[in-house]
Amino acid sequence: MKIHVDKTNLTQVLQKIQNVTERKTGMTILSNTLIKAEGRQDVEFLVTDLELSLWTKIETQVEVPGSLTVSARKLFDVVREIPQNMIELESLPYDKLLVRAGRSRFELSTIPASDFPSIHFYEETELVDIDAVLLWKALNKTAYAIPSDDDSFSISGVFLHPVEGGRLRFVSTDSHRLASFEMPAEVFSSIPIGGGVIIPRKGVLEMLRLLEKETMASLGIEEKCLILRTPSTFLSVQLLEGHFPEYQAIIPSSRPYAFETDWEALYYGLRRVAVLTSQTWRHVRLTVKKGSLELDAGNPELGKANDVLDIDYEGEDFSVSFNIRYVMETIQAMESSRVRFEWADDAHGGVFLGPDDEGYFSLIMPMIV
Amino acid sequence: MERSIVHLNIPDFYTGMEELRRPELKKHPLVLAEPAVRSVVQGVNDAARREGIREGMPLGHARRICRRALVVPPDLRFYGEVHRSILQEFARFSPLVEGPLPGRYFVDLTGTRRLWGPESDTAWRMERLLADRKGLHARVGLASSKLVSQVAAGCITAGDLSRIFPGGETSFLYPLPVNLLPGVGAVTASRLADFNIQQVGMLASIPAESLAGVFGAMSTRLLRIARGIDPTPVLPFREAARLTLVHHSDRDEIDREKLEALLFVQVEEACWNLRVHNRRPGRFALEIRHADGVTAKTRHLLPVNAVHIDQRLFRFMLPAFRRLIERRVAVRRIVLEFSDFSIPFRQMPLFPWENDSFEEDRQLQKALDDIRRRFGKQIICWGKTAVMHRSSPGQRDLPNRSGPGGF
Repeated sequence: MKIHVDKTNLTQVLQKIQNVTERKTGMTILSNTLIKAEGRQDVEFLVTDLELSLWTKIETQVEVPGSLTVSARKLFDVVREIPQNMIELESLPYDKLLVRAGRSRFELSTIPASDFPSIHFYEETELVDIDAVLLWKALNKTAYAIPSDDDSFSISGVFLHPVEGGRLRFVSTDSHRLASFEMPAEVFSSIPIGGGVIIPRKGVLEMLRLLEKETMASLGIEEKCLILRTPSTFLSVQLLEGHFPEYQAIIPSSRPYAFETDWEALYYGLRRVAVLTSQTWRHVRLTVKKGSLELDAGNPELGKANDVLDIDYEGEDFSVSFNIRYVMETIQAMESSRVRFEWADDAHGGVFLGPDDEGYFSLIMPMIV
Repeated sequence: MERSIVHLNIPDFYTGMEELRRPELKKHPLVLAEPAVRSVVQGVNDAARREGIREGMPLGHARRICRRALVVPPDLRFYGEVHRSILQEFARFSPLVEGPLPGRYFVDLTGTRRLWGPESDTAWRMERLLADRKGLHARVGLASSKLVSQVAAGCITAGDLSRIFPGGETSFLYPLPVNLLPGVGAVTASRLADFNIQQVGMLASIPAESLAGVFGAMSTRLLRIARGIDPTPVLPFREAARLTLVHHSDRDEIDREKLEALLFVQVEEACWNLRVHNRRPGRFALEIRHADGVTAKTRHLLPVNAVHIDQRLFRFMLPAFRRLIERRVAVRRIVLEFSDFSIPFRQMPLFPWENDSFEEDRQLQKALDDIRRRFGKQIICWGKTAVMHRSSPGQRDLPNRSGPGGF
């Protein structure tokens, strides 16, 4: 194999595949990318961790066709450091890849392409064109509540399922908070999601990255595998088999205390008091009185922070403590100029809604201080 | 401005404390040690030292050397209180007072001449204050650095003052034997003696590259202290809160089940204290000493949901303990230490069934605490600790600690 490739294009494609490769794995091939230069002008890049696979291609000059696998991280590090605009990649005898630019030469060890796992992208599956912006929005509004690891009470993924009223709901929970976003079901009408599917955390984050700069994409589900296609990329994500917790029963139906406040005032108020919180002292106390919301946070080693905001509230006084990070992440995901907070009690938690952000819902459990 | 650092070193601080409490002990060889078969000597007075008893010696050996030696258990809490009160007394002379160990003090007198007069007079006044208020005598060293003042104090007897004027550090240090330098112990001194380096001046004159070949990374520090270079400041000492529990077995233990039970008893005791003070530990350290003298240590962070409930805390620590006792050698001592305390804030779970097991544990612990508060700590115990009372072959049954109860 021998190709000449533009540095900017190569850097972009290598950056795109980095997050899919496995860094700490017993199978070295999973940290490699398969480079296939079979046509005259296209070079394909494939990576997989056996649950998530990504295919992408760039246009370039292929002098000698061929294929090999090389460490995605090391190739990226090398390419990033090269100052020249054109880079030459050439396979050498004894499983080596020569990366040459100007007077710089790097010889990287490779593994034969035949050892790379065979990846099925379900090319024959019929994909449905979807609004990439809407899908990105739905995933972004729920991704923050996905736990990094599974435990007995939560599942590390976003649950996508149909609900009453012809709507589709994205839900995630880490067993301390729950985030959900609803949209009309017809957006994904012909995608076979059945009773619901769970997209794993890594897949959600990769989908967010891919969709960030796209307006249209195609989506399909086949054999417990979600396929997402953008003009230059194919992503296949193995869906989770687990059972998502029965979350509907825990949403408090009666929320007697409620107030509304300005999004900016609340978010920046929380940011100010968060300066004096720490890993151990991470709670913020919300003291709600007629017309005012008092935020208290602090740390005996650093000091105390207090801020008062104006709110629309005429009910009884109450106070509640939350993990400040949870509240900030919830509000950050909201697209609304106002924030509505509805409170039930310590056992049922508090609900954050965006009056202008239809479909967004967040439930956070309090901290007992 | 030239620095003026005073070092006050009270020799045999612990035994001095005991002699002040009980003056009749002064005339006898006095040994501080726990009243256990395998305990080690933690402190000796002058009379005992003359008999050949040293700190760190097994108590049995010390008794064989001097049968008339009086053995007194150390009262570390009392010594700590006296140590803190001495620090407060010295704080009148300067805000920079450091007490790295009980009986050792550094006071930075830099810039206090116009307030207190010449530094030598101030240092002497501090020694007199110690003698009048506490009945203790210190060796006093006064120099431009902590290192030189410490060495200066080490060269004289209690009640004397040794002042090294600025510029005279090297001429003072160079003729001294190397083992007078802080941090040069018997092993390093013996290694230096192999190369016929016996005096500080000989050590200071060796090129760094030559010394690095023998002592590696330590050579830089060795050269620095031999040349009297010590820019370290006097730092007021703030002791971090710690909860330490030490189990010293009379009989070496190799049975894993019994060792885990011993750890559980320590965790139980710690949790009781943590509950009383409403604190959650953020970190724990475990240290075990084997019968052959080998020590193993481990330190771990505790997760946020590790609270002061016996069972729950023990569950987090057990894997670390099991990794620590991998050697098939009996264990003599277990030290458990908790630190980084915080108030136990609790994040409520979203799903009520998640809270069930925690609530069960919490209620069980509360019931146990209520019983113990009313009838005493020994009245009830966890089943895990019952194994400690199980008789070994050829050993008589021990009385059951739990009495009729026990889970």
